[in-house]
Amino acid sequence: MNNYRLFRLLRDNPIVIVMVMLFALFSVIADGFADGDNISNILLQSSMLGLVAIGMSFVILTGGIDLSVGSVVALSTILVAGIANSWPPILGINAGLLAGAGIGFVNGALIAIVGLQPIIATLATMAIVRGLGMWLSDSRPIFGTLPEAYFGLANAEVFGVPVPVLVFSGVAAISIWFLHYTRTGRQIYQVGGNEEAANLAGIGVARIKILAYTLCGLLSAIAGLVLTARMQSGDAVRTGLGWELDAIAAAAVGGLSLMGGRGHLIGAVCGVLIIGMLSNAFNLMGVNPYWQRIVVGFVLALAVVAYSDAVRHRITAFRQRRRPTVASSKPPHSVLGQG
Amino acid sequence: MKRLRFIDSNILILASLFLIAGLVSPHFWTPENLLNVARAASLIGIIAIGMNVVIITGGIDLSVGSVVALVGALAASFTILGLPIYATVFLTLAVAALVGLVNGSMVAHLGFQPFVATLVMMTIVRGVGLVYTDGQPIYVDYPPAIEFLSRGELLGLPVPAILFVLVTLVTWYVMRFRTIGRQMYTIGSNERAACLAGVPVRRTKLIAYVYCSVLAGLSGLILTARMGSGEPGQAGVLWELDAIAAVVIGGTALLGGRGSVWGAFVGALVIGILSNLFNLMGVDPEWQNVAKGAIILLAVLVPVARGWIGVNGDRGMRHG
Repeated sequence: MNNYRLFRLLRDNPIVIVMVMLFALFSVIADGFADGDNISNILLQSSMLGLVAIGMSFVILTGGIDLSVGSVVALSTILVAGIANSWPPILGINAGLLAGAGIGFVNGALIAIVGLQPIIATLATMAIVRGLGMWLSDSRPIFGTLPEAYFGLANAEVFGVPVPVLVFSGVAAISIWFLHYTRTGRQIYQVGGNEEAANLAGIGVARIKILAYTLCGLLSAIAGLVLTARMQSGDAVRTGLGWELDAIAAAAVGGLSLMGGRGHLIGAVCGVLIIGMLSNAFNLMGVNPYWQRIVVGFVLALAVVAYSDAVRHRITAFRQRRRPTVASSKPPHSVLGQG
Repeated sequence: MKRLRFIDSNILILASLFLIAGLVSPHFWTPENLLNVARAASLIGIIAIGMNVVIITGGIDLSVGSVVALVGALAASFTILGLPIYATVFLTLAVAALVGLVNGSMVAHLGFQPFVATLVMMTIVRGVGLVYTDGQPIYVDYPPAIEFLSRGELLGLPVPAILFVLVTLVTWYVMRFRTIGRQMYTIGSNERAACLAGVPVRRTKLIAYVYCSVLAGLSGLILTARMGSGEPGQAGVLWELDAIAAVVIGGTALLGGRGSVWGAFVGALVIGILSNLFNLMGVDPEWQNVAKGAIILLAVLVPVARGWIGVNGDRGMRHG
């Protein structure tokens, strides 16, 4: 990564710098924050919402929104824990993943083919999927059906790194590669940036949208699998409540525009980690945990301001004054948010 | 055709639902039960009316659930502090208006997307309520005047239902016959055109968000009066989505500029009647979720299907 690309990444995603600065700040003021155990704890706590937030990012980049992710998380915990009661758990895992992808596919089809608005379509599936999960489990948590080995998905460590963190970082890395270095990934940005132009350019807009929603459902289901291993039970009533808005908040903190087509996945990942760090540090410092919500709200508002065009252009102008040659050869406007 | 337009699909839906509900469960038509339905539907209904106004201007308000919780907590603690009733009511509604003011100025003046701006306020307001009460519910004996808000009856009708109808009537009148109401429709259908036509876009949007928030506050007062406690963490969770669902069922397009106030009224009643009916029939609560989702889908699919078979309906196309 050469100098200019690094600058561009950091300019377009100031949240990375904010995250590093917050980490440094908490390391100084909160005892035990920078310990290896604590850091891996933060990552572990963040990894499930992180998976959902990555899925949500795909959808947001196409200009949509998915409110059904929390219900998909709940349904997949129920499927895994419930099916393990009488069949081998691998069947439940596959059923959970299949259900997640299937619900995502239905969302995508309702939006891209039938033409419903994303908020309405996914609001409906959110209610329906939550109801299905409650019906399957009789609204009761399912305990004691899973074998010990399954809990390794949450407890085991590989080279000292918890498995959920590996899953999260692996998914994040593949997703960033997918969004930036494959044709389909670039098409996701194009569809979100200007749907009509994408259509005229011969991109299968419906196909891309359905793909994004399917990936979102699938990643939510994976988050549900990890959550099941962590709770050692399945629960349709209480799991994943409000996750849809948390994931959207994390993506928005990371600078993904809800209009679509703008923003880097690394922003969403940093958004999730910042929210995780805040709650962990507040815990360590003994601050009333409810302050966390207020702070997250302010961080979200600040992020929106920081990512606004006015601020972005000011930074670019500042750099152009100092390094006219590089800036004039690579006009920043053509690559906004897609670095 | 004027006469036909008056009997629009909203009233048809409501009437047929009434008929079916009565046929399915004989208890449905008993007066006590109907009053129960009205009482239960009015909480979400009052919010849905405000949400409808915001959605007509092309926005959305996710912070209403948090406002419900904060107003409840404040009302409970003010009552314990011994503030007079009118001060409690005035102060809590003022706080709700303040939340709306912040929502509105973020959207209208700072240019935030409505979804993000109100998501910010949803998080912050919920947090403020939790910090203020330290996360604990506040139990309180409300004076009769506040209890009257939820338990009282006028002419045999429950007060929340009267408030709901009153709010609907006033909002309908303003949205249909007053300049500001028409301006809200104009802004929702084409903001730039509205601006060029001299509509005070920012001020009008601000008013819409403040109005929505105050109505959420009113609903919060009714809720806390009914429960006899202020619940900062539990009250109003996901109510914003219920209110949006009511608006959508009523045929208002989330794109703005379209939709009628009576649609939101009917939408809230539809949700209320269904959950009441399910309770009467002993249907498990899980199916209520499924049914709610299915009805939202039905409400938005019917106009689409009408387009496919070439019939233009009036649902969602109305402006008042």
